[in-house]
Amino acid sequence: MVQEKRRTASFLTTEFYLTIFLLAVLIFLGIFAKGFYTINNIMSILNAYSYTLIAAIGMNMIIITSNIDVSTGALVSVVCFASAALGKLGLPFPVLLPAAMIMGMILSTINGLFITKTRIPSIVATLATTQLFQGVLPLTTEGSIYDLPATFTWLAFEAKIFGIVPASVLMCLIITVIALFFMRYSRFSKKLYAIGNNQNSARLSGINVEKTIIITYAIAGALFGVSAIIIATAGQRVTTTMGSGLEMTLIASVILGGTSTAGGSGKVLGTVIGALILSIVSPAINYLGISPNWSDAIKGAIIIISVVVGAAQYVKKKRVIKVPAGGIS
Amino acid sequence: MKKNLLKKIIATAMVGIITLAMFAGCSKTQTPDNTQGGGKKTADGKITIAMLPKFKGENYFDAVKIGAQEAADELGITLLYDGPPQDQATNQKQVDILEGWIAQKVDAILVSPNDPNAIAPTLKKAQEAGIKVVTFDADAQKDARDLFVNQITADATGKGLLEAAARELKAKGYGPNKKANIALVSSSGTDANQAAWEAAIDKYLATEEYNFMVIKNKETDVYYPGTDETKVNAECATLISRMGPGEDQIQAAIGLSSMATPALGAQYQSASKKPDANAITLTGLATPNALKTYIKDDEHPMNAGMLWNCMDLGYLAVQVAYQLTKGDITTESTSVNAGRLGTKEIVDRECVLGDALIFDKTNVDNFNY
Repeated sequence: MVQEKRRTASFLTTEFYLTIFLLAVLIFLGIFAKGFYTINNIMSILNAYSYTLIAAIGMNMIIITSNIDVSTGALVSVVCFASAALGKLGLPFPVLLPAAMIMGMILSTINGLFITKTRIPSIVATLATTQLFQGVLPLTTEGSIYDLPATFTWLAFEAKIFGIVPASVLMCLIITVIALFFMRYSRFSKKLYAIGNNQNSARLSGINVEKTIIITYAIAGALFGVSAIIIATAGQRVTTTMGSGLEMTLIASVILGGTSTAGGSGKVLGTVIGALILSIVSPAINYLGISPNWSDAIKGAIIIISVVVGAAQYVKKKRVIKVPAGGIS
Repeated sequence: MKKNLLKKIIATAMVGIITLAMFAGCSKTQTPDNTQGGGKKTADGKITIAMLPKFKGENYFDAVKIGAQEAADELGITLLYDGPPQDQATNQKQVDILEGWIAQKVDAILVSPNDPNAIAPTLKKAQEAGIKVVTFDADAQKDARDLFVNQITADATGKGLLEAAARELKAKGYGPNKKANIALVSSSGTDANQAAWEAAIDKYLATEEYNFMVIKNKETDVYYPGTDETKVNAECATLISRMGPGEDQIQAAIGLSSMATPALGAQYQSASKKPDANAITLTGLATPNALKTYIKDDEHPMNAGMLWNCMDLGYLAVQVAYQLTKGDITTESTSVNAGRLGTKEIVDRECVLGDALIFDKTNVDNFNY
């Protein structure tokens, strides 16, 4: 009896509901949004999706540890700008990508150190570093970097797999597959969930909490770096505000994907679907002929419904657990 | 245990406050520099004019600054130049800077407001302190400034943009017998400039000369992506995917902000299946530097961009502010002798720089901003 209930509960997950919702939306768009399924539109959605998802996977890890990072937008702006400065020298993409990852890693490690060493809540610490990152750029430069060479825009303009699929999508696919396995099977990921559930008990069970959190921020930083290089190379002009507003999209994707902001739960798969749903909204309403002013409202509504459904499920689960407890007494 | 928790909370709060104070301190360190500049003025009796752009760090305002400095050197005055960083282009930041200048008693303030209404009380305060207030680039409430140095009338902008698009469309076979759908990429939807330009575009689309171009559906064909770079890029990508020769597709896209137009160029370039360049065209407002590579590329459907001469705008603004301070002109004047620019008319307390500057591959290299 108990087992049966568990089995029904096991596939009725947030990811399951999200997939159903996503499929429904895709079918709806196929019928009502004329021209939505053209190669160009699909590829441009996938490109925006790939940089959102890569960074959202990093954000997902951070949120699982019950921390948060609101400095991502500013961090991405810094990495974009520094990458553009390197790109202006004519450095090719194979050099720019690791450079961006290392820069992202360093900046994000600063966040991690700040949070663990001073014990400032992550939201306050990353708010402060947001100001710091934003403040650095105007000091180093007055203006944007223009007229970047073809070596810099190679990823966006030239690199197409089979001449159609942007290479950024392949990068995203590789990272996602690695993340799916890593977060499911690695010992490190178990530590993340343990810390997110209860930091003190994680510490008591022998986990080096500080070190784990710093490493988490470093890994996330490297992923932010990958996103940054995709964003930066989208055109021949890089400004000091390339990533502004990005952190909210990322947090929204993660939360929509069923990761609790309290930490300790959430899957990569949820984030994969969550980010895809949010990436589709803006182009979809444009193709449906609805005013773009609705875009943010619709995104907000989707997130609220998802959070409410998630909370309802949590209550249900609690009830399931109660049964054996009653049985024992 | 409880005590410990309390201690922790207090310590955390303290560190938080100190950190924030540190950053607040950083941003305020700029003010003393300006005070020194102001002090100098009283020492040698030089006139000081302070210039406040919407934000610093975009080539547009950098070019304005170059022209302003040129005029300042010519007239032998002190020019203060400061503005919010690009990502903090808010009214509050502008007000902070203005308050500093009012306290230093500069002679004239040149301002390009982010919000025409919210800035008005501060500008009035400056006027009461005997400081001449001139707006440039974008206007404030009329009663809060003495003169407005306008780069171009909204009318001329709308016409210039449509003309740039029409020329290309006609060359590609569109005209009175073959209508073309056009789309606009605006900014956040609240900017005074963009709203006025859109109104002018609407007006000209109704005339016989341009009525072969149609905005089919205002809800979806006028984009308001705001000022987030990633959002502008994503929406421009959507627009590019809707372009093509078909009747339900879009043939011309016009960018109304210096962010949107380069984004259109870049998103066309990165499209997987590029729409036929012989059937569509892209154009819009942007600095020449931002469009250079696309305009020079023969296979790219962006062949021209539009702007005004930014350096001349800065030059004219300083000239007007200087002569207003000296009393050479008043708010009643009908013209101003603006140095190397010659005589410019003043109509209804508004001085207009001139016509649109349409640049294409023949002259794009002549401008470095």
